[in-house]
Amino acid sequence: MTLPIEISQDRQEPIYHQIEEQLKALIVSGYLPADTALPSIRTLASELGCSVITTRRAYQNLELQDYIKTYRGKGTYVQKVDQEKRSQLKEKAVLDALRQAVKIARQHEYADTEIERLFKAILKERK
Amino acid sequence: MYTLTCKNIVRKVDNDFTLGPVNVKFPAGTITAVVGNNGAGKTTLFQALSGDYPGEGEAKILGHNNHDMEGKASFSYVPQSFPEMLPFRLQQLRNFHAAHDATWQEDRFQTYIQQFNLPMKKRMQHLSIGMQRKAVIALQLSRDTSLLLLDEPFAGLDIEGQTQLQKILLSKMEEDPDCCIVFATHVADEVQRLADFIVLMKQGKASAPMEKDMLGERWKRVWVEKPIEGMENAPGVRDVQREPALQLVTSHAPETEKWLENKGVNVVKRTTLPLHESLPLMLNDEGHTEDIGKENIRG
Repeated sequence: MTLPIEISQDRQEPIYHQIEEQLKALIVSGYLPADTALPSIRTLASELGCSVITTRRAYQNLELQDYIKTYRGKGTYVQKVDQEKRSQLKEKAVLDALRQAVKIARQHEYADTEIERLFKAILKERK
Repeated sequence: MYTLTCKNIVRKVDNDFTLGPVNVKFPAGTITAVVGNNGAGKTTLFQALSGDYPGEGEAKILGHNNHDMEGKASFSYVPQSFPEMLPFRLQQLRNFHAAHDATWQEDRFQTYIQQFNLPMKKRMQHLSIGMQRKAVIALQLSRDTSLLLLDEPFAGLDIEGQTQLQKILLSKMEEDPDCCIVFATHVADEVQRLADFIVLMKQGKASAPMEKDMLGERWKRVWVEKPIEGMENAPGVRDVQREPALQLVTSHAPETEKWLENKGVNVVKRTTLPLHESLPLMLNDEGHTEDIGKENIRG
């Protein structure tokens, strides 16, 4: 299975961190349910054009946070994520997106009141 | 754990060229690309590692000296040229390996023969260069070893063959996660697709293995909103291009960006410099090749 992960070259975060965050989002959103088999570090590395040092590091970090588990000789599987963690992470994802939007607005030298006006306008757009 | 350890390997080829001393270690479970211009000593290094001819230093493969029987049995070697094989037919070469090699995998060999569409009965010298190389790859990868030394394995292969070989190497690493592959190449794209580490070779000297992704994080093209006094000499900056938009090429992106931030200049966009652009810059750098790799390994 090819994972819908994309490495952005416009980011300053290291690649392993990008993989980690995107996999986390896929797991938390339920797109990758518990017990889903993940690609090996070698397969993921060749799909993304990065090295196994990077994919191993991403998997190790995710394993430390109990998102995935590797069984020697069997492969790596998605773990069950509890409800509380799930809502925390969702909030973090939304905050990150908003932060990014504010950053762009400030780059374009928008004042906070203008940003608020735009934000409210978006909220009024039809759902 | 290291599969292959090179200690002070020196080969004096002639009055104009000496390889080494080379001190490099290759970890198990990794793929390393050896990159260098023509005449940098890649083939001499591979010959030395394969135990081809005597010289100074020592290469150890899984604890065995590469000249010992155990050492020789524990790696597969695809050289750049193989004149001694040309008079034979693939069938004869196969029989020789199957009879003498305890790790011979006949089923694997048959798969490769079919994939590459190799004729068993023709003399090797009557095959195209690409077919000859495919034949040697089929023979060497049918031996069940945990170290593959491949001197420009993709050279001369057709596009289909290149894709097949890449798949073969990847599935070899899947089956045997402790396998170690070291391959020489001139093609940046092969490095991008396969390698975990890169060893640069210049004038007979070899760099320490560099993490490919660390190079990607450091070698960047950074677009900035406006020109800044002294940007040509900012940390890491290798080149400043003004057309069509102002951009800096840097070998130390984090340091360059810090400098820009201190100057209060916004970065418009950044992108990783593709290896076909960064590798030539590295190969043209002055300074000691042995020192290049050191800052490109994560602690």
